[in-house]
Amino acid sequence: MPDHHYNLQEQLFSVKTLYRELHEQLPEQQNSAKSWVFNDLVQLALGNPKIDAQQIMQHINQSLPLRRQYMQLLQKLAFATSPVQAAASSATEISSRKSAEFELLFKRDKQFSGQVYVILKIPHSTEKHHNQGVRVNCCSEDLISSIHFPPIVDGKTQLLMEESAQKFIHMFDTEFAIYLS
Amino acid sequence: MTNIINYGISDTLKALFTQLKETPGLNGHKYHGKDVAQISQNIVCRNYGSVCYELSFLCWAVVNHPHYSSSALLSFFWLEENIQPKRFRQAFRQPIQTTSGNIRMGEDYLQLTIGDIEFTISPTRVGVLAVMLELIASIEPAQLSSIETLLLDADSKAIKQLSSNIQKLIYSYLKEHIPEASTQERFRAISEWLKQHNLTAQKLNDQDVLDFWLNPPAQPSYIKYSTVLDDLLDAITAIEVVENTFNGEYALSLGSNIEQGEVDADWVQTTMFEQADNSQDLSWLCQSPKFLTLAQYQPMSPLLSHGKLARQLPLSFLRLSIFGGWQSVLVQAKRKSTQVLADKLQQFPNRHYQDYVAELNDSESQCKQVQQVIAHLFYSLNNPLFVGIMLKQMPTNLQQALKVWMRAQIADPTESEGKLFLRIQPWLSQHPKAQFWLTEAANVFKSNNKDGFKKLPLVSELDIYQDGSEALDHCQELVARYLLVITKLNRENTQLAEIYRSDLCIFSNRFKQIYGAPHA
Repeated sequence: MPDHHYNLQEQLFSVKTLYRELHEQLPEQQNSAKSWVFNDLVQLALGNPKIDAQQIMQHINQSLPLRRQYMQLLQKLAFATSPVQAAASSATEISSRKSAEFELLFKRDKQFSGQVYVILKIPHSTEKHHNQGVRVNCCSEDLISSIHFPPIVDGKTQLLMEESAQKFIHMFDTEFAIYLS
Repeated sequence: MTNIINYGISDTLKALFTQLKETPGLNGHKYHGKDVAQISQNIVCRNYGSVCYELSFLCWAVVNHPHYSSSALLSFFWLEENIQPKRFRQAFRQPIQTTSGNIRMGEDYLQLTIGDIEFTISPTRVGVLAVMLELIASIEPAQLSSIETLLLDADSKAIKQLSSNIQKLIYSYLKEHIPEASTQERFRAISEWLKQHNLTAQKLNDQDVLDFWLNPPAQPSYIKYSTVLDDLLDAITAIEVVENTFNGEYALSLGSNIEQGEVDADWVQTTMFEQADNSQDLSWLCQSPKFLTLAQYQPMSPLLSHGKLARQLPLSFLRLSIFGGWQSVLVQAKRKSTQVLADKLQQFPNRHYQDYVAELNDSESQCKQVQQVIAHLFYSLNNPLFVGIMLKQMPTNLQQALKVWMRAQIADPTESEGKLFLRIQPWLSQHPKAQFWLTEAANVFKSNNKDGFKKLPLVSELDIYQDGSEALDHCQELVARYLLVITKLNRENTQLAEIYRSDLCIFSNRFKQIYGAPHA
C-alpha cells in the first residue's frame, strides 16, 4: 500500500475520532468547569437572567483581559452607570449612590442586626426591568461582582443582604463603578 | 491548563463547543446544533479556510452597513441576532452603496461588489458563519474591534488580509488544543492489529471486537470497551473508504493531488461527514424544535455513528450499551473512593440486552410518531410534503393506490405547492384510512408539548421540520434494520439471555482485573 493511502486513512480516522470526542458527553465531565463564549459575556452585560452569572463571573474574575473585555461591554450596553467616585475623605464607604437614572441606598433591619435592605430605585425603568429584574455590576480594577435584583415594581426593587457580604460592601464602595443592566 | 489524558482534544475545546451549543439567545439557544456541528467538522478536518474567507466578506458587509455607527459586529450578530435567514434578509433589505463597493439582497443571495470582485452569501449560511465568528470572538474577544477597524471603508485586499489573520488565529489555537500525535498512535496500533489478524471490514465480527478488548495492543492503553469499539470501527471504516476510493472509478475524478499524497481537507470532510452513512450526528434532533428527548435519542446514537457496521456487529452494540454503561459507572466510582468502586464492581448491571432492545423499539416508535406530528404541521399549513410522510406509514395496499393515483394526477412537477395540496384533497376524501391517520396526527400533535410543537410554526420555519423529518426517517430505518438482525439472532427468544449470561462472566472478570477484585 502506498504511504499516502496510509496517511489518508489515518486522517479519516483522526477526524472521526476527534469529532466524536469533541461532542461526547461523558458523565464525568458534568462536574468539571464549564466554559464561556463571547455571547455569554454579552448576555450577562445585558442582564439576561438565563445566564449562569455566578459561573461566568468566576471566569471573569480569574482573567484580567476578560475583565477588561466585560467592562468594555458594560460601557457599551449598560442601562445606567455610576462611575468610581473621588473620595471626599479617607473613608471609601458611602450610604447611597445616585445617578440621573437610578438611586441605590440601604436601610438596616431593625429586628435583625447585620441585615440590610438594599433598595434600588429606577424612576424610568424599561420593560425588561419589570419582567426580568435588574442586574447590578460593581467593577473595580481587580474585581467585578454582580447581583441580580427582582423585577421593578412602582419604580423600585429591593434585596435583603448580610451587611458583611462582599457584594453589599462593593455596592457602596466609592472605588467601585456601578453598571446597571 | 490544557488537559489531555489519552484523548486528542483538550477539555477546554470540548467545553467551548458544549457552550456554543448551550449559550442563550433571543429565543432558546442562540445557535442551532446543526450549525455548531458543521463548524466542529470544519475544525477537526482543519478545513476552515473557505469558511474564514466567506465570513470575512460577511463582516465587510456588516461593518460597512450604514445602519451601524459603531460596534457594527456586536450590534448585528449579538444584539440584533441577525443570524437566521429571515432576519438576515430583513437587515439587508435596502441596497447599500459604500465608498468601496455595494451590497444588494437578491432573490437567493446577498450580492457584494467590491472593486472588480463579486461575492455572494446565502442567507442560509449565516447561522454557520455566526458560529465561526462566535468561536473567534471567544478565542480572542479583541478581534471584533480589530476586524471593524480593518474593514471599515476597506477594499478587497483587507478582506483577504482578514481571512488570513483569522485562519492564523484558529491555526495556533488548534495547535494547542488538538495535538495530532494521540490519534496517530491509536490508528497505528489498530491498523497493525488488524493486519496481524488478517481482518478487513467485511471479515470483522463480534468476537474480534471482544478479543481486541480482552487482549489489546500494548500501546496506547485501551481500557474502555466503548473506546475499543469506536476506534476499531472508525479505523476499519477509514481503511475501507480509502481502498474503495482508489479502487473505484471515483479515484479518476479526484485529480492528481490526492494520488501524490497531498491530503485535501475538503475531501476528508466531504468523505467523512457528508457522503458517509456511518458518521451521523443527529443530536440536534433534541434541540429546538425538540423532535426527540435525549433519552429517546441516546440509544440510537452509537448505531448512527457506525451505520451498517452496527448490523454486522449486533452483539458489540448490545455489549456497548449494557457493559460499556457498567464500565462508565466503574470509572466514575473509581474517582470517588475504593469502597464505592468495590461496591459497584459487585453490583451487576440492572439492565439486560432485552432492555436495550426495548429502548430501541421505543425510540423507533417515537420517531414514527413525531413524523406523524410533522405531517400534521405540513398538512395544517397547506403544504403537500405531508404526503411523503403519510405514504410511509400507510398500509401497503393504500401506499400503492396513492402512488398510482399521484403518478396519474401530478404529472407536472413545476406545479405550485398550493395547487398540489388542493389536488390531493379529493383523493383523501375517498380514503377513510388516510383521513383517520391525519386525525390521529392532529391528536398526537395536541398532546405533544415539546418545544417547537406547542403551536403551529410559521410557513417560513418549515425547513427545519423537513430536515427533522428526513433525519427521523433515517433513524427509524437504521434502528429497524438493526432490530431485525437482533430478532433473527434471538429467534427462539432465549439466545439473548444466554449470550448475556456468558458475557456477564467475561466482562465481570475483566473488570475485576482492571479495577481490582474487592476482596482479593
